This record gives sequence, C-alpha cells and structure tokens, in this order.
Amino acid sequence: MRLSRRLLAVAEKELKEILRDKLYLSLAFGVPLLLFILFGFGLTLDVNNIPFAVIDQNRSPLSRALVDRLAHSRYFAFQTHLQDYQKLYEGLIDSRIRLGLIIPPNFDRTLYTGRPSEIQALIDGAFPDRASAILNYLDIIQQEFNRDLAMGWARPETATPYIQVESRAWFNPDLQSRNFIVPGLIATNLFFYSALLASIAVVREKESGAIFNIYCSPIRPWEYLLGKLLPYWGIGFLNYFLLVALAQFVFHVPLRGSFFFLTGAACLYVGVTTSLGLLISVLLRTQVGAMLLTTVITLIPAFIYSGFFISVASMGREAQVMAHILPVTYFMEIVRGVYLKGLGLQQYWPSLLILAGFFIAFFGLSLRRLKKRLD
Amino acid sequence: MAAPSLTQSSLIEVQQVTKAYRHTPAVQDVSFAVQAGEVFGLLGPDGAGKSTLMQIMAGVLRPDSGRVHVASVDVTTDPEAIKSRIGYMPQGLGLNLYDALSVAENIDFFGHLREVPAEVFQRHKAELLASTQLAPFVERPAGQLSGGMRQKLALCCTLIHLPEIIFLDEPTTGVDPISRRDFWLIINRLVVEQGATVVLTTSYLDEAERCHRVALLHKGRIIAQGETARLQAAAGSDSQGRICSLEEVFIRAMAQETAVPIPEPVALCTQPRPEPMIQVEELTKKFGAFTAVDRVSFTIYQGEIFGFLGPNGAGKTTVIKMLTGILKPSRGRGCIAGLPIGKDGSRIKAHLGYMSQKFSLYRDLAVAENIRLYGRVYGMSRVALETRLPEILALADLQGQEDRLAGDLPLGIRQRLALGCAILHRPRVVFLDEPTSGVDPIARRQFWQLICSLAGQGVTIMVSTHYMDEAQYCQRLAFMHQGRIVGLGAPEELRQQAEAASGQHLEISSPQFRQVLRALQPYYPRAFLHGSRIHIPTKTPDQDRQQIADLLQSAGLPLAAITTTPLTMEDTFIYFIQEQQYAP
Repeated sequence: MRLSRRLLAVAEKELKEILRDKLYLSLAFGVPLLLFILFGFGLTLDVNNIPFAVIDQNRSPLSRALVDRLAHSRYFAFQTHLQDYQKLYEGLIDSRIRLGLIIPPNFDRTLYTGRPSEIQALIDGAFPDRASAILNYLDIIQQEFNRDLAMGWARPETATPYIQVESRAWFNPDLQSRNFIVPGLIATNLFFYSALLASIAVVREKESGAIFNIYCSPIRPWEYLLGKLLPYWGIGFLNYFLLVALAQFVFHVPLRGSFFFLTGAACLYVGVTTSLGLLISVLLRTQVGAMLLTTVITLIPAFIYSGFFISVASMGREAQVMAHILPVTYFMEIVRGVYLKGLGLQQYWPSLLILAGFFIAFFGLSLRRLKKRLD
Repeated sequence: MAAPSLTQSSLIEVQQVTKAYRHTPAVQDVSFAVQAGEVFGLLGPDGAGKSTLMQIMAGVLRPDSGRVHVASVDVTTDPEAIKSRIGYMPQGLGLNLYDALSVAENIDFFGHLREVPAEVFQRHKAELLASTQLAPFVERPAGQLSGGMRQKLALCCTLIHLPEIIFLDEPTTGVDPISRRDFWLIINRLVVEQGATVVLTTSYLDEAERCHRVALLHKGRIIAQGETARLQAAAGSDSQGRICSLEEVFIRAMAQETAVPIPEPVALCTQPRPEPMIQVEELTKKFGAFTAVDRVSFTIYQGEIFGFLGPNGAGKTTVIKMLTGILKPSRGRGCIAGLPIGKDGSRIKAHLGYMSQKFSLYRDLAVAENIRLYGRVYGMSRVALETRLPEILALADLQGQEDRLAGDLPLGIRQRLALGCAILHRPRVVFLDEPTSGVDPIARRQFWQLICSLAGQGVTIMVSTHYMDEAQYCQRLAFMHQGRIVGLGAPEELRQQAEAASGQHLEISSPQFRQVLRALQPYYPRAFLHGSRIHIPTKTPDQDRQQIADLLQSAGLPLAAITTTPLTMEDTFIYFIQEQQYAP
C-alpha cells in the first residue's frame, strides 16, 4: 500500500515542529528521566536498619542474647540502652527510634522456670506498612530465639520435634524492592508521559487556528490523526529505550525474559498511551485543559490502580474494576513478568490482545470525534 | 431590502442563513449571492457576523437554518465535496502558519496537504513567492516574520493549489500598506487572469471600495448589498458634494436600520495653542537585538490631536508605553508638560490619561464600579469622584445604565466608557491606543467627535490607529513604519507632498473593466484594479487621459469615464515609506 502523501506531510511537519521546539524536546526526554531516577532511587518498600532502643530491666545473659540477636540482623540497628519510659517515648516521638523494647526484671528467671515471659515492644505505627514489617521481623526473631532456647535448654534427645520453614523467595531472592519498582516505573512513566506529550497534538492547532488548514483541505481524518500520532509514538518509543537502558545500567535490574518481546509489547503499549493523549487532544479545546486532564486521568491511576504498589488481586472490588479498565495494568503485568520471571508471549498474548483493543478503541474514538467542523 | 436575484451564474448562494452561539445570535436570516469571477466583500465591524458567514461558506460551520450552495454543492450537508476547490484563510495575522517551519516548509506542507503535483507545485510556489516578495526569505522561520509578511505567507499557502474559490477572513487588518498593496495586486491578478472568485471580509471601508460587490453586515444582518459603485451612487453625495464613501453608505444604511440620527461628520474645531506639551527626541527602544522604536522625534502642542498611523508591529504602542512611563526607553529623551519622562513617574502620571489597546475595563464589573475603581486608583477624593461620575456617564451616553456589566456593552459604547475612565482625573494629556479598532462606523464617528470636543477643552490627545481614513481627523500625524517615523505633518500637507512627487491617479470606469485592464497593462504596467475601476498613477494626467481614450477606442472597448482622483492616505503612506527606503 502506498502511504498517503498527506499523512506523511502531517507527520513530517509535526516532527519538525517538535524537533525545533527546544523546550518541548527537553521536556519530552528530560522529565521522564528525572521522574524515573527520583522514583527509582527514592521509592523503596524495603524496611532495613530500623533504629531501636532497649530498656533492659533484667540485665541477664539471656536478655543480652535477645538484644544481640536483633542488633545483628540487617533489619534492626541498635541505638542505645535507656533507663526510663520517658526517654523511650521521646525517642519514638522525634523518630530517632522506631522500636522500643522493654525487657522485664524477671525475664530470665521466668523462662528458666519453664513459663512464658513477656517482653514489651513499642512500635512507631505512624506508617502502617513499616509497622507491620517491623512486627513480622520481630516475630521471626522471636521464633528463632524460642527455638534455640528450647534446643539448648532441653536435651536434644528429648527435644520436641518442630517444623522449621526454610523459605526462599523466588524471582527476587534478595527481596530487593528495586527489582520490582523499577520495571513498574517503566509502565507508569510511559503511561503518563506519552499520553501527556501527545495530548497537545491537535489542541495546539485548535488554539492557533492552524486546524482550519486541516478542516478546509481534502485530507481525511484518519490521515491527519495517524500523521499526528506517529511522531509522538516515536518519542514515546525512544523514551522506552531510555528507561530500559537506565534500568539496566543505573539500577542494575536483571532482565530475565526476552528483550525483543518486551520491546514489541512496549511499542504496542506506547501506541495505546499516545492514542489516549490524542483522543484527549481531539476532545478538548485548550492545551492547558488537555494537559491537566491527561495528568489527572493517567498519573494518579497509574500509581494507585495499576498494581504498582499493591497487587491488583489484593485490591477491593471497585479498585479491581478500575485496574482492569486501565491499559497500564496490563503492561505492568507484562513488564514485571518479563523482568522478574522471564515470562513472554506464551503467557501474555491475552494482555497484548487487550492492549491492541485499547489502541483500536482510543484511535477509533478519536476518528469519530474529529469532525472537520467547528461545531 | 430586496431579495438578491439568484441566477444560474451565481457561484455561491447563501439563502436565509441563521446561526447562533448558545443564545447569542451571530447571523440572522442572511441571503446573498456571489458571481463567478468577482471580488465580493463582507463588510462590518467586529461581531457583525463576518467570520461566521465565511466559516459556513467554507463548510467548517453548520448554520442553524438556511441553505448554502458553493459551486452547486450544498456545503451544509456535503462540505467535503468542495474542499479541494476552495482556499480558506482564517482571521488573524498568519495564525494558521507553523512558526517553527520556514517560509518554504510552510508552503511545502500546504502543497502536500493539497496533493499538488510536483511540477505544478514548483511553478506556483515560485510565482507566489515572487509576487509576495517573500522569495529572499524562504529560509526564515515563519515565527520571525513581520505581521504583513506572515499574512502574505498565509496567502501563498492558501493559494498554492490555485483554488477556484478563495475565502479570506480579514486578510488586511493591521497589515502594513505595502503588504496590503501587494496583496490586492495578487487578488486582482487571480480574478482577472485565472478567473478565480474571491470572498473577503474587512472592517476597512475605504479598502472595501476595491470589491466589485459588497454586503454590509451589522449585528448579524445585511443592511445593504450590491455593486460597490452603484451603492455609492445610490446614496447620493455627501455633505461636501462628493460621491459618498462606503463609510457614508454604511452609516446611512445603519441609521435607517436602527433609527439613530446620522452623526455629523467630524469637524476639526480647535486651533492648537503654540505651547509644546510633549517633546520627544531620538526616542529608541530595543528588545534584545530587535529595535521596536528607532530614533523617533516629534513635538505635540497643547490641545492638538496627534495621530500615530501605522500597521501592527510598527512601534506605535511601544512609543505610547514609553511616554506613559510603562516602558523605559533604551535611548533618547522626552518630556511631557515640562517633566522628563521615565524619571518622576508619579508626578507625570497625574497629568496623563491612558486608554490601552483592547483591554482597559474590567468586564465583570458594572459601569459605575469601573469608573469608581479608576477614580480611586488615581487617588481622587470621594467627593470629587461622585461629582465627576455623572459627567463621565453623560460622556459615554450611559445614564441609567450604571449597573450594567462592562462586558455586556457593545464595543463602541465600551470604548467610550474606557475613554471616560481615562479622563476621569482631568489629565492634560490623553494617550489613546487604537481606540476605534473593530468599532462600527457610527460609533467610530461618535468616538472621534468625543475626541474633538476634548481637544476643544484644551486636552492634548495622542491617538494611534491602523485605519487610514482616520488620518483626516488628526491635526497632525506621524506615519510609523518598522519602528521609524517616515512622514510627519498635517494630513493634507503630507498628501499634497506625495502627490507633487508621485502624481495623481487616473480612474477609468468601463463595463468591461477586466478587458480594459488587460488592454492597458502593456502600456501602463502600474495600472491596477480598484473595485470595478482601473487606477493608473500618472504625473501627466491630461496627456495620459487622451492616450488611454485612444487606446481603448482602437481596441474597441467601451469607456464610461476617466477622472483624476486624489491620492488616498494609503497611497501617501506608501510614498513616504518608499521615500525613506531610498533615502541615504
């Protein structure tokens, strides 16, 4: 098929305008880079080196053993011994410590008599995720402590058999949240930014009056819209390569799956997000409005509903519905699956089909809504 | 109004078209027809409905009711069928251009968009670039062209596929006189040589006399239409016994339609007192590498009406802003009422009134609220303000309408109110920056009467305008072109100076004016079409008159009349621009 001359003229003109607009161009590549680096380094879900203090009223070898165990794990960082509650309270208030342990005076004696002894843990619960992570770590350490205590105290031959869970986290053995966050950022960044860049494509001409050139010429709407879409698609696709390179060389996130599959999927995905921007551009009348609307409907949902933080499966019912009407959710699955689990076409062809459906819907709607008329 | 006859030869037929935006009617029951091969003008002030009609004819706006046929195609139902045959240039100085693209790239884009075959395209492009004198600038980005050049480039882009029907929405508004002349030469050549049909809109009624036929629009209705010359003849003669100008025709038609009395022609009544009020020497303003105002010197006397005439971007507003202390001059000196400008801002400002271009009222505030706000900004006492308020209301003809929002007033009245606010604190000098832009002719005349009465009270007035015909209302005027004053003096003196140097125009009327023009052009290459008449600049009118009569007789072409016409203000302006360019 011979490509339409009018389509090529529109695409070429658009590309020239973009390339000559230094501000737009630096925004087109600078902002996603900045967002990626800011989030990539700054956003971590890991809880390490939690500062804690102890009021040890027991001062026995056993109580010291417990404190040592905490202090030597990578999750906790011992700060100081304290004498009274007031100091502990102050430490928690001004965030010098996140955890305060209080070991009662008769801690060791109670244990040696075979009765359970309680210790008190005061946790900074301001950020619930971190608090529950602290609780989990404490729980593990407490279990290990109990086990060792039982083993050492009773004679081995009379020891009660117990189950020890040897857990290994697959796909991300070190449980590094970066390996999870960075691929997710590729999905959210491309969703938000490709749409934003494309959202001014048509509306800018409406504002300037250049749209009349289109309205009054014999060009067909599909030629115009596809010609408009292609340069922005290209920019979005270039951004994808930039982000993948950053993930590889700056964040050292291992890519387990096929780069070619990921790139193909990203190409389709960027087509979806740019055509969403295009649709907004066709619908609205001002650049400011188009950019604002695009930001609101892409940026926030991209982080909240896409499974970026919380997996879609564990969301509430309404949130799950929200997640499934967003293209970002499908690409989020793909990009994480390819990065972390090495999955590919075999698992993700349905997602690709859904993304293709989004593209057809967005572009089709843009076509329907572009009337070569003012009214 | 008689219904226009819709003959078979009508290329465009507009029948009973009505269009409203929300509840504001833009066009009401409008009918007219455009014949093939003519220049048809839709005339009227801002908001008369000109652009709406153009958009409807170009098939980009659907009317609420009525029928519009263009080349036998019903554009209300099948607009796409005519798009390859039309060219449409929207309003605004080249707003439809792509600023980042060069002149050549802009034209190329339109060529591709219209799928003009390569060899045809190259030929048209070269011709258009030559006739618009844009050829030396092909590599320059459109964003760096002057207003007039942008408009000419937009015209090139509109004409690149040689459309049969050309719609031009306010193509010459704010454009410099040389670009305007080039522009009309192209339009007339298209019509005479290619048989194209041109529909254009304008708010310049003097310029509209160049159209073969016109329709006068006021508040969305046609108040008069017909052949330009016949309309002028039918209106009779004006107060000085000359043929009515189109402006006079418009004013009389408006007066008939709206039953308002015809305002008296503006008469200059004041003799300026020989006491200088504003003195400016070598005033210069640079914005980076761009010189907006270049070594401007002039003196304005007390009680004088001093006009600043020039296109958009000539530097008129910049001069006014330097005089009012809003901008600091890069070089040069000036003083107002003996006080140096740019130094003691607050003392000088007590003597000044300033009415800025377009915006000077708060549209969401009521009439009286606007006046009170201005009064307080100028530090008037409450008592002084309350005694002045009724005077200003009377001046703006707004008694009893104190509570109307300024935004709801018609443009003409709003401008009078803005003037009232500017003179609230009884300044000695008033600066008016394009106060009549887009205002209807009656309101424009009333506004000038107001200016004259102010001058009669001894107020010194400096007024800028891009309406050439307003020059006659000024006692002295300065032609501004590209930041420089190219001519300075009383309007009639300037005109006579130009006439002495470049001669008068011979005006030739003939029923077969197109053929006459073609027959005369080999002998008189400077001959051009002015409406359905031919103008030939000449220094030897009697000799040429005889030669033309002989030429036409031998060619067997009918001749109705040959008369000499005085140079227009636009011709005068062009003469001074060219003088300046050839000066060392």
